Amino acid sequence: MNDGANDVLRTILSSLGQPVLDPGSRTFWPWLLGAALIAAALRVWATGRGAEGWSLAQVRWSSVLHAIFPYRWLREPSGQLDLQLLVLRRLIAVARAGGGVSGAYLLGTRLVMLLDRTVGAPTPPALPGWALTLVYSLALFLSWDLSRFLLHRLMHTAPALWAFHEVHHSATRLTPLTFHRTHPVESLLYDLRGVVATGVVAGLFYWVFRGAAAEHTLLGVHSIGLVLNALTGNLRHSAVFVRFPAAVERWLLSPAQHQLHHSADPAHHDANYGTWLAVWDRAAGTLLPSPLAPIGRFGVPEARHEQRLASALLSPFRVAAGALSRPARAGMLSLPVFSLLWPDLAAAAEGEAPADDEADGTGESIVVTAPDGTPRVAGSAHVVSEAELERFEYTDIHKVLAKIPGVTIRVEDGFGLRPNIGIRGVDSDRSSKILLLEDGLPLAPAPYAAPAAYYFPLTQRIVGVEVFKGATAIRQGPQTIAGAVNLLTRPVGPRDAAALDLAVGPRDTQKLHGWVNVRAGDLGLLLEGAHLGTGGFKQLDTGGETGFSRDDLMGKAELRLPGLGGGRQRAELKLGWGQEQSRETYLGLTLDDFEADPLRRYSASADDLMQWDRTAGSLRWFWTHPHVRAELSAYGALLDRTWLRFDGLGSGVDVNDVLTADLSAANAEATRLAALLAGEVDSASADENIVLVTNDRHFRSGGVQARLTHTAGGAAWGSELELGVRLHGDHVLRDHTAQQRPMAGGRLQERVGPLVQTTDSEAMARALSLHLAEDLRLGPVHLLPGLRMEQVHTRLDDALVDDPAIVADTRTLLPGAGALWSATPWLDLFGAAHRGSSPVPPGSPEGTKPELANNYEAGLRLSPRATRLELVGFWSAYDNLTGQCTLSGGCADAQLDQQFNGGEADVWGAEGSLHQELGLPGKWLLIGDLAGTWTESAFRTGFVSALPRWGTVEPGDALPYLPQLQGTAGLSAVHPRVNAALSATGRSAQRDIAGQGVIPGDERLPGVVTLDAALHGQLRGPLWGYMTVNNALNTIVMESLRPYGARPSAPRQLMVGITLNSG
Amino acid sequence: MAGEHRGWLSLIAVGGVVFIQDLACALGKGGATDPAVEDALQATVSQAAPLVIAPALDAAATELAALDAALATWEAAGGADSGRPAAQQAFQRAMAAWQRVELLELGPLGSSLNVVGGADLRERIYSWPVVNPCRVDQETATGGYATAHFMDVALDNVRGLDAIEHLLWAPTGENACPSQVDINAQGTWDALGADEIAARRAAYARVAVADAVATLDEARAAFAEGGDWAVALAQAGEAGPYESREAALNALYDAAFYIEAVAKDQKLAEPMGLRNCTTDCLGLVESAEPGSSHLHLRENLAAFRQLWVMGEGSGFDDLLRSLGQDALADEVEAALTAAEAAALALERPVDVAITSGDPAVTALYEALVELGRLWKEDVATALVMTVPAEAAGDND
Repeated sequence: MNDGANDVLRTILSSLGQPVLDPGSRTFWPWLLGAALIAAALRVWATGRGAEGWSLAQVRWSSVLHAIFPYRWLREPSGQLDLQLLVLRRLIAVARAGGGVSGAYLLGTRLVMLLDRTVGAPTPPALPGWALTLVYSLALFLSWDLSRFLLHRLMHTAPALWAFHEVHHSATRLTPLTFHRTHPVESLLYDLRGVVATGVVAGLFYWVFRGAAAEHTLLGVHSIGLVLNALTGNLRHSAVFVRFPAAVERWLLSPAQHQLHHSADPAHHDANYGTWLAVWDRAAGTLLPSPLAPIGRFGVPEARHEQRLASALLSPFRVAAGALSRPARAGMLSLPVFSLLWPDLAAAAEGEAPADDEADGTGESIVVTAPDGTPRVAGSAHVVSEAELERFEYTDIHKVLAKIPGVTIRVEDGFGLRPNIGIRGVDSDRSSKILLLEDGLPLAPAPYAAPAAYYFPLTQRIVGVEVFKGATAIRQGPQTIAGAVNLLTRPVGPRDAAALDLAVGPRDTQKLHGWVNVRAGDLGLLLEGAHLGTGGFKQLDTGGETGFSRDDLMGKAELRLPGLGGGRQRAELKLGWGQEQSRETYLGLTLDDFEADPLRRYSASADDLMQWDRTAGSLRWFWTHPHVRAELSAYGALLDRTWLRFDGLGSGVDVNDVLTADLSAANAEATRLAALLAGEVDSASADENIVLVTNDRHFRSGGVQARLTHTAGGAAWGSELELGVRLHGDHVLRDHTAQQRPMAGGRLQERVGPLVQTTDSEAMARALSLHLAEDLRLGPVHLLPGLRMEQVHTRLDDALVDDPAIVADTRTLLPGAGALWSATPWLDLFGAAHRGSSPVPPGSPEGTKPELANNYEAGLRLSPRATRLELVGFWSAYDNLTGQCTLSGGCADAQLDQQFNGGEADVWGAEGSLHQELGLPGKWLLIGDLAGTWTESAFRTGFVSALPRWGTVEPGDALPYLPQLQGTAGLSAVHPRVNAALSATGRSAQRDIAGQGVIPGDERLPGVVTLDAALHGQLRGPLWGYMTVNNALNTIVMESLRPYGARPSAPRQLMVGITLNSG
Repeated sequence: MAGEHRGWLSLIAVGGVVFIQDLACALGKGGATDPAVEDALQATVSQAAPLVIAPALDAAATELAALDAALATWEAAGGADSGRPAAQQAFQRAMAAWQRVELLELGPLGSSLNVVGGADLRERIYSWPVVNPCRVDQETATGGYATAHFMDVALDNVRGLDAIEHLLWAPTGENACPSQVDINAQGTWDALGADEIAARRAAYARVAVADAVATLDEARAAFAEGGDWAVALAQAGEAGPYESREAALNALYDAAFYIEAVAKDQKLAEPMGLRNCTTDCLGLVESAEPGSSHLHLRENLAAFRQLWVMGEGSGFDDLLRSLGQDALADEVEAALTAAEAAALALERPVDVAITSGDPAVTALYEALVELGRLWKEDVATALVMTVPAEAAGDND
């Protein structure tokens, strides 16, 4: 046998020996020996005292040994399974060895770094060394013991987890080896628990005491755990019946109490979940004292696996899958049909109680809906449900929002990584003029200091999108002119459930999405992850990927708390993390090259790479009383991004001019520079070097918000008064550098010359927001007055200039009022007017005013049984239309996030939508959707703007990137086992720069119609397969001419996937 | 039945062998360590001497030898002003090379007070900011430098590169002492005359550089291949003064901390009046007379980069990555790159830049603040933090 094989064998054998050789192991041999000695002492005590006094001769030594180690038991199936699972766990441990550093270490260090950056490094409190060791050791012990209790209880109460834990409980005789008799899934969960329990405590103590805290150890192991393991650990799983005095058992669990937990009587299973301390069970009401006599039978009478390794390993998966899918079966047929637009109806059809959020009315949803699900607000509101999102399996939020009337999108990268969303004519650039929310909380990296939305969650994990426009925006802020987009994430469900979605497509495109929801009494947990990646559809001249990889993780814990003051209360903790690596560029093509091959990408952008990671969290409390609802939320997010990307040429020439020039004319210079970008000629001087910038930005955002809603009234009248307050702070640090890279041989060469700092600034904003809104119902009429106040303090420090920091304080009062008349149960007429605003970002040029507009709308909403029709006319009269500078909009580095005045302007138009359902024979349902928007716009004054997309503006000029017409038409055929959907989305041509009349050719972004199709079919039970085609006609048009040349829409994308959804 | 049990019995038998073999080992260890981290740690520590320290010392030795030759020429010219520029240029080159050694204060180069194996060799070669030009002038006037065994008893502030810098740049015929000091009060200095003073300064500089070369040779011998401290680093945790590889890594980490404690705080923050100084802060600038303070900072950062990537070997960056701290490694790299760029952008001596309000000096300071913050907070956390081993508890 060679050395390598010897090493492997030795590793395996060492791992097999670990349970008895590692002092950290429960079954470390001295502890086993100690347990045997205790057993012997007890036997001597019980049997050694005869009439003649003490006599060891009367002790049956074989029974002593057998009590602690029933070796004969090993011949039986249950004992064999004990050993086999032990060996399996050790082999898995070998396979996992060397797989990386400890998860607890990574979690702990990450926590320390996060706290250092957000809170700062504290001065370590002066504590004697022994006291610090004591406190730290106790904190670790409590964290471990509590986390074990919680997970253990969850393993019992969540049916899907009990399927795995049952393997441990099916042992019909307890021996120390039973400790190792656990399913690998359970072991994995306990390992994850250890990562969190250790990492958080270790991180917090390191942060506070800067590494001075060390736990007390014996033999390299935490002392308290080691001593408890040594004294009684192995007796817990044994036939040795050891009780503690009753007073002690209220604090420390005795071996007998744990043996009671293993009793074959299921009545005892819901008791004594703790490992060492009894206090957790006392608090949860699950503590039972030890019985007076030893337990007669152990095990699970109706175990769902056999005492064989294969059965014990595999059966739990089948049982868990059944547990997860059971609740869904009844609703499987009706769910896809009724929840397409009206989720509440679907829930009602299934006879389900509405989720708590809906019942409370204080959840993360903002749009108020009537009992039939129709939005009931004095303005236009739309809800896209999870079922509709899943119908097309969209991964691009643009595709979702394009179906909503009044919403304008500007496609940029073809994937929707950084969406440009506008509503009713407001500037769509980086979605900075609309309010983005996730579960009702601000989503943008820094909504006040830098509102550009460089982060957007993966669309797969969004279960609903609410878009509300007009006066309803008063309740939210700071952007209140047009409206808001509220992305709803998956709520913690009322029962165990899980889903998985896998899809692949050409160009190495892959999608993975899954979630698991477990519910144990008042505690619910949800873990969700999503991944989206693609090799990209553009073709680099130098070869290589042009796509991206994105990951999003979200965890939620919901705890229903005891009733308070006659109301229900619950708390929710939400944590999220995401990252992206995308080879995105702003560099497009010349018009000629675009004509020849729109998917080409020049060599000058070969090294472009965007990377970011984001960590976010929120803690929320909701209280629902018959007349009062209250919400208190704290939220925060950190986003670090860096973008290495093409930014121009060494000479500083306007690359956009080069790329949009008419190269057929005798323009030798532009032709040469375009060839240079393509790598077809080499840089001949420093002026022709390619400039790459590294734009690092660090965003912080956080705040607290509270809402209080009071309801009163009866049949004739009603009042719902809402008071909201939010204290918000955000911050952006910009660290931009530029470098020059010569082009030679068709490729970018190494950097020449120094890195040049181009931006080094820090902007912050603090804002206090208050709003008061009333919904006064008088019979069929609702009157909806509201008032919002925003007080904002901003500051910009620019390290590259000598000027002092730019500080600004603004206070804006925004009144609004609306009325809604429910003329019939199926007809609403409404109208509203409100004052809207977008705040001035820090550092904008002197004299820049907030964007202010008076907004008016009026419309009607028909909602007979299978039809919904909405028609709305709108008009926004801007006192001051503003434009926000971003690099994507063609602005220079020094202008970033500055706001420019556009003076008076008007945006007006109409939007409408129609939804119709038609039942057909054979359980078929036909669903049709139509939506359209007509928008006109005009500047009222003439001026010359530094904002590139405005340029020289004449009175009457229309806004750029705002199509006059856009619309969508969709047709879906839905059946319990199959559904097919077809959707066409189109828009008219739009301008690249403000102007009027016929759009000149070099400023014209042509209109486009794209066709998407999707087909879903049930394969088996909850397993469905699907195929989607986006842009089925492969229509590729020019979507953007900024900042550097023409960039295309995405070509046809085919995806094939499966979903497994338990409901 | 026997057949059914054969596999189990074999496993138990082999397990027994391992039991005996591993017993002692298991008793001494609380938990397994990731082999990749161990490898990266070993590489970082063992490669420091051959890839970074020895080359930096050799480069400094080459420049000191050239300085010695230039000073010899100056001495032969009787310390005449005409011979001084060549010697000054040689000094600038030597000082530039030395500034890369400044970040390598470990082993005998380090302080005997707080560094493992410290023998104060660095202080003997360059003791800034502990300098005393007046004391150098006194030794010049009294001729103390020429006495036998002068360097055996001389204080650090009258020897080494800081003394040579004063001897080369001090105005002809003038001294740095106040009037009450003996050489002025008793007229000793004036009695020597300008020519004699110039000759003595050149001779003193030769003595000082010879001592510096000899001291540097001690350090080179320690870190050369097979040298005591090269071996100490390579065998850290097995033999020698470092009781563990972590202790050796700590010595390297502390040495690199120079970038925070000296480069940022002493070379920039104090002259800028941002810490420990309220008046006459510009007097605290390093090498004010040669006007090379900004060049020193560039060399310090170059040395920091050498330690960070450990030359061509496996450095702190690889160690952090092995610990799963890729993002942090990227952040430090970005901060270091930014600091290097800021140092390049500072094109004037620190005192001149401060006086003229040059924003480049503030930019460099802030870049070093960020680099220092990462080094002393995040990197320290990643390298120092350990997580306790949990005694096995029930998952039952």
